[in-house]
This record gives sequence, structure tokens and C-alpha cells, in this order.
Amino acid sequence: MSLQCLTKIIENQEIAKDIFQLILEGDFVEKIEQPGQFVHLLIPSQKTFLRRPFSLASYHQDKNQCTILYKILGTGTKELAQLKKGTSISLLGPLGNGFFVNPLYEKVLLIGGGIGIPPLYELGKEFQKKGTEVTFLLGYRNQEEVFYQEEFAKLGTVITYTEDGSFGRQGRIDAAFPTLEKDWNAVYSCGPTPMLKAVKETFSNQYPTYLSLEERMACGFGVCYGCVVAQTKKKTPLKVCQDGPVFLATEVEL
Amino acid sequence: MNRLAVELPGLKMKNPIMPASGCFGMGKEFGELYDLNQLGALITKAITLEPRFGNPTPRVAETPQGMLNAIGLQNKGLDTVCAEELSYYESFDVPLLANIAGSTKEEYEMVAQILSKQSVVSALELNISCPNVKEGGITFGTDPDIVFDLVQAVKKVSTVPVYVKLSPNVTDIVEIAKAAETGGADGLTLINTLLGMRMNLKTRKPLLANETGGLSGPAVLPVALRCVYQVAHATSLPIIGIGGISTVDDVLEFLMAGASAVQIGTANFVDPYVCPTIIDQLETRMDELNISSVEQLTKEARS
Repeated sequence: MSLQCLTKIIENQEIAKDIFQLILEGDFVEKIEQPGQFVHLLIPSQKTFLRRPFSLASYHQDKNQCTILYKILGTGTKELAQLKKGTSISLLGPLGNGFFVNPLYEKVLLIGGGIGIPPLYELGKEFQKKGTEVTFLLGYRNQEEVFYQEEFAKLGTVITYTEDGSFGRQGRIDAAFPTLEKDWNAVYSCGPTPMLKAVKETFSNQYPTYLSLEERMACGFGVCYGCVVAQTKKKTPLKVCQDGPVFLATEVEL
Repeated sequence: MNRLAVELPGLKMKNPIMPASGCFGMGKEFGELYDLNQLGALITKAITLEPRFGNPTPRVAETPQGMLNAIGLQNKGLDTVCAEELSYYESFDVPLLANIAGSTKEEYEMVAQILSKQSVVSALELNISCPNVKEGGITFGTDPDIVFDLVQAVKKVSTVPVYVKLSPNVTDIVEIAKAAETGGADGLTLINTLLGMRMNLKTRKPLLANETGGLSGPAVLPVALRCVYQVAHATSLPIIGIGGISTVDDVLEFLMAGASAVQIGTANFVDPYVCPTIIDQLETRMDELNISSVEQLTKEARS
């Protein structure tokens, strides 16, 4: 099966301020192996040239569908938001190495910030299927940008922060770190780099801690060398698209 | 007779399409997508004497109909490339161009000498035009005297033909091409990327960590065509044309400007299957335009 295919838009609608839910259908869904993998979309617009990478928020292999949650942040996502249901777009993927869902884990902590939250949804679903106890620590800017609260609540305990206190607790999520329980089997995180640094610093000495990284990329499959991250021990950089996007926190320098 | 075949120094190609260095990794990722035997030739990412870790990120940025990159020649270095990466190309019945870069003349000589002796290497491509590294790269490619001297030195140690990849970031590319020809080059590849920049509206600073980067993609195609055309009329060396090619018609334009073969670069990032797709379309398009053969088209352009 080709890595590149045409996929059909089943749904593309705003679910919170500037946050869109995009549902895609195609045979590529069969090939998804892990939560945390991504797809590279070619947005049909004269205003963009390169593809745009998006993590998968969930996938349903029985229906050949997957869901992407994205935020309008630039030209690409602005153009993507204009696309109507039924439109076909070119997709490359699934790409990258995602989160390994260890069936032996009994209790895990998933920490997400802003538009980094989506891949933790499928991860939480997969852990729930294994009977693992899941706690979500989620940070949003404000109430308007809060999404998927009900969906997350079905999977485990949810602790929510907003920067302005308009929803849940007020502050940045690292404020919660000292108050959390201490018996995790592993910690997983995706979000802005300052948040990932705080997660690495706080948890990676005590628990296996996995981070999903984001970097500007061109190809998405390891040939352009655009999206690298420095390795902690060896000097040769790792590629976010091909070696990641999920890395053990102790393996990379942020 | 194969109408698509092209014979160049060291490169006996079944068609005029090869990927561009830096846009094809060390081949493996594409080898998983399609049979690389379909290509006219293969090419390595730039190889330097010592390992290079490249530039900080962001290394890439989108531009109107193109992109900027400032990778910084990241590669594992000559020894590791020879020990671990070159053997992959042995499984294909396609000539291989090894792209080499360096910070000093001595480094180019050492890398050229060792690489040219590897049985899998059909020819060398000297990258004297990378705009993204502090030492070497473009500083070699903008001064005709240095180009002459470097090409002559590499020719002395290389046991395979040597192609020189030229920078468009010069006042007169013909002068540089002639210097490479006088130095003994067997062929020319042109063009490398154009030096460019983008700003980040939020930080009010350059978007790339390296500040400047090399512009590629369809945006550079007319500049590349002009360079190929000028050089084709001023030297007798075979030319591998490169710059913004993404369609079969782009390929034919380069041949009509005087190129003997072409390299496809940035388009591989948007459509990983672009090279075999164009190869499949080439004969039909040539029929439509009454072109008898690739070699004939180049010959007409250069007569």
C-alpha cells in the first residue's frame, strides 16, 4: 500500500475557539499502529506549498476513520478550516513512532497542554482498554479553548487548568506537579516546549517519561533533516518525524 | 533504442531523472516506497570528512511556492558513510553520484580520493555552493580562482568523473562555470539554492535559527533555467539541470535550455513519488511535443 493516498473529509467543524475537529476516512487508517503517530496533509490551496503534520486524536479501524484536532495558528490551518465535508485531500502516513501502550502498567499520568492535548486522547483510550488507571492533567489557555472534557472524563480522572482560571483550576499545570500522587508506572506528555521541559525535570528521574515533540518539518519521513532534536548522550541529532515524534525524555535535550 | 537514455561521463542513465542531493537522504526511505531501479541515477546526501551535526532548529520554513532550508550538511562523516551507508546502493543497477562537501581544499581532496575508490560510486558531485555553513560551501563557489584551484586539485585525486554543483548566488555564473571547466570538471550541476530569509511575525526576528537559508522549489525554476541556458551557451560541459522541477514539462524546459539530465529536489518532500511519476509521463509528453529523444533535444539546444 502506498504511503500517499487521497482521503475524504467526513467532518471539519469548530469545537472550541479556533479549534477544529477533522474526521478523515481512508485505507491508511488500517496501518496506524500506535497512538502518537501522525499524518502529513497537503492542503489544497495556492497559499501553501509544503504539507502540514497533524497528530491523531483518535482512530477507528473498524470504520476506516481517524480524528485530528487542530488549532488555527497560521496560513495552513486557516486554509484547512475552509475545507468542506466531502473534499478529498492528499495524505502521507501514518508516520512516525508513537506511544507504546505497555499492558503491564497499572497507573499512568498523561499531561497535555493546549493543542498538544489531542494525541493523549487515543493514548488514554488504549490504556483504558488494557484496564490501566489513567489520570489526565490538562492545561488550556482559557475556557473558550477548552475541548474534549467529556470525552476525557469517560477515560479516567481529569484535572484541568486554565491560565486565567476561567475553567478548572487557575494557573499553569506545573503548579499541580507537587500535589499529585507518586505511584505512576509512567508519565506521557505532549504540549509546548516549556511545559515539556518542566515535565522532564519533574518526572523523568522517577518514572519512565515519554514526550511527543513538535518541530517544523518538510518531508515528514526522514529525508529532509529539517526536524531534529539533540540527543542527550550521543551527539548525532535525532529526527522528530522518523525517530519520534515520541521520545523517552532522558534521551533528548529540549 | 531507448529514447530516454542519456550517457554522461561516468553516468550511463536509462532516463534523465535523478534525485537532488539533500532531498533524498541516503536513499533508504525512498527505497521503501518504490523500486529505485526506475531512476536514471541515484545520489547521496553531502558527505564531509568528519561527522556534522548541522544547524539548530528551526531549519526549514515555507515560502511562496517554495521553501527555505538551513540544515547545515548534517551527515555521519566519511568513515561511517563508507562503512554503513554506501552498501545500500549496491543493490541497485543505477549509477551513483556521491555528493561531497568540505571546509578546506584538503578536506575535499581526502573525501574525493576515498569516495572515488568505492566501487559503488560512479561519479562525484562537488558541493561548492551550500549557503548554510560558515566555512566552505558557498565561499568556494563564488570565486573563479578558488573554483579552478579546487576542481583541479580534486580531479588529480579522483578516479571517477567529477561534476561541480554551482551556486546561483554570484554576479556571473558563466565565469564560475568556465573556471570549473578550465579546472578539469567533467560536468556541471546547476543550480544550488538561492540565499533567502523569512521573518517571524511574533518574535520580530528571522524565522530560521541560522537566520538565512537556501530557497528551493518552484519559485526558483526561472532563475535555474536562466543559469542553465547561459552556461550551456558558454561552455561545452554536460549540464545536470536542477531548480524547482516538479512536473514533466519542467524537465523538458530544462532539456530545452541545454541540460542533459535533471535532478528533482524539493518536490520529493511534497510528493515522494514525483520521480517515478515524471519518468512514467516522459515518453507520452515527448510524443505530444514531437521530441524524438532526450539526447536529441539537448543536442538541438546546444547547437
